[in-house]
Amino acid sequence: MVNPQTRRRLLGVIALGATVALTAACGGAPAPSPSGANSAPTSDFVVDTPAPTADAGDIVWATYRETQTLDPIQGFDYPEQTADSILCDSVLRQKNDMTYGPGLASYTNPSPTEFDFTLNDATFWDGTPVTAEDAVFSLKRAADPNGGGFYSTVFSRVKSIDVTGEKTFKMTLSQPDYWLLGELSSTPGEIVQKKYAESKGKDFGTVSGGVMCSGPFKLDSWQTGKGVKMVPNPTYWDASLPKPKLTSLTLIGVPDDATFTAGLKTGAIDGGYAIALSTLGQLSADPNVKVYQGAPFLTAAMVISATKGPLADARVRQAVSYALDRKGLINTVFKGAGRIPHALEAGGTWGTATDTFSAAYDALPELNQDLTKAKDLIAQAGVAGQNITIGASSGITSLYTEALAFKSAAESIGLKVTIQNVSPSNYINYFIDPKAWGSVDAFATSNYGDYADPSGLYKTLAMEGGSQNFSGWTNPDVTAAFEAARGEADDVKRAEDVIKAQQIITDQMVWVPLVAPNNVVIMNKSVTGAPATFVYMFGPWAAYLGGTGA
Amino acid sequence: MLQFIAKRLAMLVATLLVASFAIYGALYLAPGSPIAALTGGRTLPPEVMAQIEARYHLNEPFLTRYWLWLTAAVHGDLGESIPLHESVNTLIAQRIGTTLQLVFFTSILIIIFGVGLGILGALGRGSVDTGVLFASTVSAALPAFAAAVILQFIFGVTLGWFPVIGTGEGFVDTVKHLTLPALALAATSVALVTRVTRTAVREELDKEHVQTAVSRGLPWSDVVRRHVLRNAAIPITTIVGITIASLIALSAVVETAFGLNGLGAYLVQAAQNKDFAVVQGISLVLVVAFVITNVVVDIAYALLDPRVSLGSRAQ
Repeated sequence: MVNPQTRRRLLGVIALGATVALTAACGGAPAPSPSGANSAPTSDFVVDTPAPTADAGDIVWATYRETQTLDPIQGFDYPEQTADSILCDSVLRQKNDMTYGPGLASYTNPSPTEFDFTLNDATFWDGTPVTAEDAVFSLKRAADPNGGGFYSTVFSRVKSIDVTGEKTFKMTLSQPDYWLLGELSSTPGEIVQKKYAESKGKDFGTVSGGVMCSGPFKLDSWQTGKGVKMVPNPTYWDASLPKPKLTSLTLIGVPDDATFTAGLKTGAIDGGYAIALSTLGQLSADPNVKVYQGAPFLTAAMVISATKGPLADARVRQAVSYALDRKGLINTVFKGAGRIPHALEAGGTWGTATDTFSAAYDALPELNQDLTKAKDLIAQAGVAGQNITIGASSGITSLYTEALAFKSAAESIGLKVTIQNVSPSNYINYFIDPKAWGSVDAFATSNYGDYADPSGLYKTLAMEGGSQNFSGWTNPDVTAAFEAARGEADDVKRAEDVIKAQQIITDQMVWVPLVAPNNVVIMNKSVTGAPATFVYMFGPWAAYLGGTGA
Repeated sequence: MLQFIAKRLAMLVATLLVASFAIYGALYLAPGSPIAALTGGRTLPPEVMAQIEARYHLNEPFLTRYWLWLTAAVHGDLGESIPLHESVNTLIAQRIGTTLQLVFFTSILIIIFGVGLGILGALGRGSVDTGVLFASTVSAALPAFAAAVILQFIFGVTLGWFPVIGTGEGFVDTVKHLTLPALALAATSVALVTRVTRTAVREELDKEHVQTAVSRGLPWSDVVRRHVLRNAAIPITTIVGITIASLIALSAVVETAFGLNGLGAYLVQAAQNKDFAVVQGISLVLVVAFVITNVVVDIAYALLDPRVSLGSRAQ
């Protein structure tokens, strides 16, 4: 039997695809580069796509697979977060340009370990007001390590969350934690109705239980296989958001690139956010389809898990980085929709102190190929002829191509490379099983942090005990910089601390950045308005959606 | 008759038990972790990971987990999907309709085109027969996934006659949505049935009693209907039965390509996600469908050929 292993737009880790042959049969011309594969200032990225001028009627929006849960505390992947972000308001608001600020609530910070929140006059879909009870219940639920959620460690510095009035609540911390504000503007900060969640018990967020939130869209119906149907919330509290110009929005799961492409061309699918889409060139050339590219939020990188051997030496990592053909990767894997990175975390992740982050990023050198430097470094390290092992899965096309590029870079400077090829289902083990990541020196990933700040990803890979610190890499200056950043109230100063850590992480090549992939949104010509940024995971992106009248 | 049914029921139960154990075991040994499906492969902090494993009994030994599943299944509870937190009974109920419609539509196509073309080829000879042979060769060489992409491109994207995705609402719309998937799914099977039908009919045509009937001057149509088709019906029924029974499993590819979200596509997805309860539930539906189809075929034998008694295979 043919294995339709085609969850191509899946990001997280398992960006997959074996549909290349399939989609080639679809008659597409070779992909022209939608944008140059060169580094350029972030300013030519799109944030907002043209505003709608007409009612779009019923919109069908594709995610790489169907939505599995609407419970925010378990929203950890694209389909769930794409839905939750428009159904449920977060305490703070993630905006389209990736900055964040007041949302369902505004806050004051009377002391470094206290946040006082005041809720707006928001109501749930059933008309009842959003109270402090609801907010405290939701946040405690997310913070509960036994609550079945994925975000409990986000709240590790939170000592207590207490109701202080009808519309006010207080968060008391054991130590200052300003990363928390980013988290509260993202999925962990989403507020649900206490009464509803309690009455549904373990069915809350499921197909039969549903959710009750206050977002700009309300849940209309949800049937597995048919998608999550949402309709605009007519009594939405926040008048600063546009009223969605559409009748309904249905999120469906479309695992197959060929189906996604045919659907967009015929209008059966109105839009979707795409990652490493094999048919991007074909769609860019189609007059019935519009493609927009926003600033990169996720990063394509090589995780270094080596604790000994050549890759444990920073000079060798730097050498391989200099030997890498990143332009080739941008064209083959991302069909041109990506840039050569300067560091792991590029423009889409700068939610605060954007100018500071931007200047620091530009000041870092673009990671271009330089074989002379590569050979010098490898000679200094004296490791020529030694062996490294790369974990890969030939069933996951994009990550496999990246692993092969890393392999040829390493070989070009005299290392010997073994590929450990595992099945696509086993690839996850490199990320969750110490035995698996311990058996290889490096493996490819598409990765991103929880919220719009470079620290969201960096802290997982360059801090002691970080969830993605597979090599156990630490550096006292990096640790000190992150500790300082976490406790720093001022956005610019906090950014400066993160930048200090970023410089070391980039110089030491803790992970080797491969590509900064653009955030791609694709819409049929009849639909417009969806922001071209990663806001679709965290904020009310679909409020901007509507029709073009075409 | 009663004895036949009782025997078949006992067989069904035994098959289900063996199949469920084998499938559970295979899935247990297969690579991957259901947690990947929950997180999209993103890394979770170890303490959160441990808590999830305990919650879904992922750290229990194999036999314990199988026993937990089996005792619940006997009571009619097929368990809960890990990523969807939803009862498998509900999940199957929501998807079985699509698959049954698709399989039913495809079966009709297979019977009409497969048997029809086979008879045409056998009786037609000459260029008609060559045409049938050519058509069946082409369609046999067309795997469902390739047929799906070609049909989508020609009739969906280029001509715009049929929708390329989804199942549609109401009878006419549903038929319209399922036409391309059914054609893609039927392609290979039609070729198989055509070939078997053609051979079976040919064989009967050459038999003595047919020649005798023709020489005695019986009308050609009567000869074909009573002496040829009736005798050729047994092998044709067998191949049609087997083909249809396997359609549910084969539908996976087509369902994925056309975004239909039926049982087949869901089975593949669930197996990749190691969603034990769902894989078990759908597999049991497949086994039941297979057994039922076989029963229907057996009854058909008895009806078609009075010499065959119920429950024994045609000679």
